[in-house]
Amino acid sequence: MPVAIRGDKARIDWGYFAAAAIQGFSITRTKDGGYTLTGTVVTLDAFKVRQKPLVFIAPHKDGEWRWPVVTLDIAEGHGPRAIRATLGAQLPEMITR
Amino acid sequence: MGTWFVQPETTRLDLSDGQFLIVRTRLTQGERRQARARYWVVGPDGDFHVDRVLLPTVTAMAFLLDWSLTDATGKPVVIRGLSGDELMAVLDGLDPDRFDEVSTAIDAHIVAMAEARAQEKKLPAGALTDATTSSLPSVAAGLPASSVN
Repeated sequence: MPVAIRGDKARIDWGYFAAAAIQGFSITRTKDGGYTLTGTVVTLDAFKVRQKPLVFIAPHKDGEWRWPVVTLDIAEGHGPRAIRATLGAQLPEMITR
Repeated sequence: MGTWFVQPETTRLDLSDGQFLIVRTRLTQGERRQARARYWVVGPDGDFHVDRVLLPTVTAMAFLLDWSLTDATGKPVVIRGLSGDELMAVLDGLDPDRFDEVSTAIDAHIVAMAEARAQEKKLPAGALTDATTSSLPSVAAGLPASSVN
């Protein structure tokens, strides 16, 4: 399955709240047109990350790419750990430059 | 009965010249604590006091999420995602009268939200809510937070 995007830093937001910070991620296109996200979450807000709706945000040099989080699975434990999510159709890109 | 947790809701506050602010509708306990940590300072008497010079700026920092303001060339001055110190530096770059306008708009928003909360709780008229008394001592005392010399 082709890798759509690989990146270094990303985050998951609940509204304007930061719910999780991600270091190292890849997004893969699924057969049904959605996306699968895998990566490593380095910090998270245990309350906010369980709220809805969540948005996955991948910054780039001119702004941000954004996807709605459909399902979210974070490995147990403390410290940096694996995250896996299904993402919906990409939201409008946010241009900041 | 309202939720126990603050939802990420925003409010638009209109300014002059067609400009506007996007602010947090309500602060979470964590955001309020961070603001207090900035404006409660130890005085010469060893007691904690509100730094009334700092209070308007810290209040603005706590509530501001985004705005429409541009620099002299018309380029947007982006504040979304800035750290506290970075946002403070941007606010400190404002013309003082313009900062007062921003601060006044945010103060009015705080009062409006406190009144809305009082209505929700159906408190007697004139009673102060916890949100008002504990987040902005000067507002709770009947003084606008921006009335600092």
